[in-house]
Amino acid sequence: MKILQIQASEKVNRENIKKQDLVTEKVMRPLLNTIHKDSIDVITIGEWGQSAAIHLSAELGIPCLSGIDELRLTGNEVMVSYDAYQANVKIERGVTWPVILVVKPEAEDALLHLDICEVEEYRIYTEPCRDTDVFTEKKEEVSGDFEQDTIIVIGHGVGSKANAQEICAFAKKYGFGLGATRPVVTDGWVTSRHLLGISGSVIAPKVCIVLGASGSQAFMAGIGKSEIIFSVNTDGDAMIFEKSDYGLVMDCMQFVRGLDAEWRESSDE
Amino acid sequence: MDETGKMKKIIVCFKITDDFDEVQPKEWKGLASGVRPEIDYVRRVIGCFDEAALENGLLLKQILQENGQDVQLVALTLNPGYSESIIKRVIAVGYDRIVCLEGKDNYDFAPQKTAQILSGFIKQEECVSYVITGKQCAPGNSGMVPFYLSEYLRRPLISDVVEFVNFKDRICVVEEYVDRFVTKEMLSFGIFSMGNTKKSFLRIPTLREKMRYRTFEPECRGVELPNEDTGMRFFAVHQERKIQFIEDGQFTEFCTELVRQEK
Repeated sequence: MKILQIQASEKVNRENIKKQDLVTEKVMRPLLNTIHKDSIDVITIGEWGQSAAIHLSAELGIPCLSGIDELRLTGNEVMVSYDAYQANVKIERGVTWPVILVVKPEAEDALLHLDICEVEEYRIYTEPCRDTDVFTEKKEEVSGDFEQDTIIVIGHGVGSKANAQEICAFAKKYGFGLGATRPVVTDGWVTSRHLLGISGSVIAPKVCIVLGASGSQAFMAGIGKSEIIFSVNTDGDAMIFEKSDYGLVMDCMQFVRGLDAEWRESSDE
Repeated sequence: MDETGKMKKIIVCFKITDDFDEVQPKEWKGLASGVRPEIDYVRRVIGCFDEAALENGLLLKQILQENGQDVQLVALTLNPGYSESIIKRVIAVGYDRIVCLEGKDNYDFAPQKTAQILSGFIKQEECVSYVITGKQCAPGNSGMVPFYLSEYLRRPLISDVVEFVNFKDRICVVEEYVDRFVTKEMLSFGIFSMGNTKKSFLRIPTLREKMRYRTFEPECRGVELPNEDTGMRFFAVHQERKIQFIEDGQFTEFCTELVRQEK
C-alpha cells in the first residue's frame, strides 16, 4: 500500500497562512500530477491543509475523512479513529482506499514510524495568494498563554466579566497561562485566543486549574491530556469533578482571592 | 447569481441538532449493549457556529440595506426534524424565507453529500450574492461542509469570519488568523464560514413578532441530488465499525457494531 504524506514547508507555518490559501493552482497542479502519475492508496495531510485535502477530494473524486487522531496500519487494512458527538464518542473504523485523511498532529507523527508501507513526502511550498487586504489589525499580545506548566481555565460559573478579568490579572501576576470555555469567550469576557476544547486549543500542561466550568465533553477534549486537573465549582454534582484529579466545592472567586492572599503573605514573610 | 448590483440574496445555511451536552453520560455507555442512546428528552438547538451565522446574516442584511441595497435573506437547513419553535424564531427575527430540505438518509457524517445537497439548492436560486455557514456542527464536527460548498459552487471561501463591517462605504469581512484580524473587501459572490464571532447569539424576537408568525410554515422540499456527475464516491464502510468510549482517560472497547452503507 502506498501512502503519500503531504507536509508543509516552514514557510507555511511561519507565515500563518490560512487553510484555503493552499488551494492555488501553483500548489495543487504539481501535487495532482504526482498523484496521477503514481497510484497512491492513501493521502494524508495535516489539519493545516484541510482545504487542500477537500480540493483534492473533489478533483480526484475520492472520499475524505477529517479529524483523524489515530491511524494504524494492520496488514492491508487502514484503521482510523476520530471524535464524534462533541467528543462523547470515539469512532474507530476501517477505511477503503483510495482515501484522503486529514490527520491531527499526533497521528501525523505516527506515520513516520511505520515501516510496513511506503511513505512518500511531498512538501507544499506556497505563498499567500491574497493581496487585496484592506487593513490588518494585530491581536492583543498575550504572551505564553498555553506554554506554562500551570494553566488557569475560566468557566462561565465565575459569574461575570469583572470576575473573569480579576482571574486574568491573577494568572498574569503569578505567571500562569490562561484558558477559557466557549460560553466565556462568546460572552466576550476574554478573547477567543484563550478558547479551549474541540473547536479551540488542546493543551497538556502539568497542572490545569479549572474554575467554574461544568465539564462538558467538548471542553474536556481540550484539557484532558493535562497531568493534573484541579477543579473548583460551587456545584458538588458538576460533571467536571468526575474527570478531575482533585476537586474543591467552593466559590471560585473566594478560592482565587484566598490563594492570592496566602501567597502574598508568604512572600512578605 | 447576481453580480450586477441588483437585489442581493443572502443564503444562511444552518443545522438543527440535539444538544449533546444534555445527554447523560450513562446514555453513551448504553451503546455497550448495542442500544442507541435515548436522547428524545434532550432539546433541539441550532449549532453554536450556525447560530452565529444566522445572527450575522441579519447584521449583513442591515448593512446592505443601509447602503441602499435590496436584500432577501434566506435560511436554509437540511433535515431539521422536530423543531417548530426554532423555525418560527428564525422567521420572527427577520428572515424573509426559510427552506427545509428533507431527505430520507441521515447526513450527519456525510459532509460531501450535505454540501452537494445544499449547493444543488443554491444553484437553483437566482441573485445569490453571499452564502454564510457556521464553521462546524455536531455530531460530526468535521468542519468540511463550507470547504466542499466552495468546491461545488466554484466560489472562494473565507473561513473564521469574525464579523461583517461597513468600512469607508465598502462592505468588508473581518477574518481571524492566529495572531491578527484582517479586514477585506467582500467579493461579489463569496462563501463565508463563521468562526468565533463578536455577535454569537441569535437575537430574541418580541412577542409581537412571534405572534405575527404563529401559523407560519416553512418551504419544505425533498432532497434532490444534482444530476451532474461530481465524480464523488461516498464513503463505503464494509468492515466492522467499533464504537469506543473514553472512560477515565482510557479507551475501553465495549462493543462492535456492524454497519453497512450503500455507495
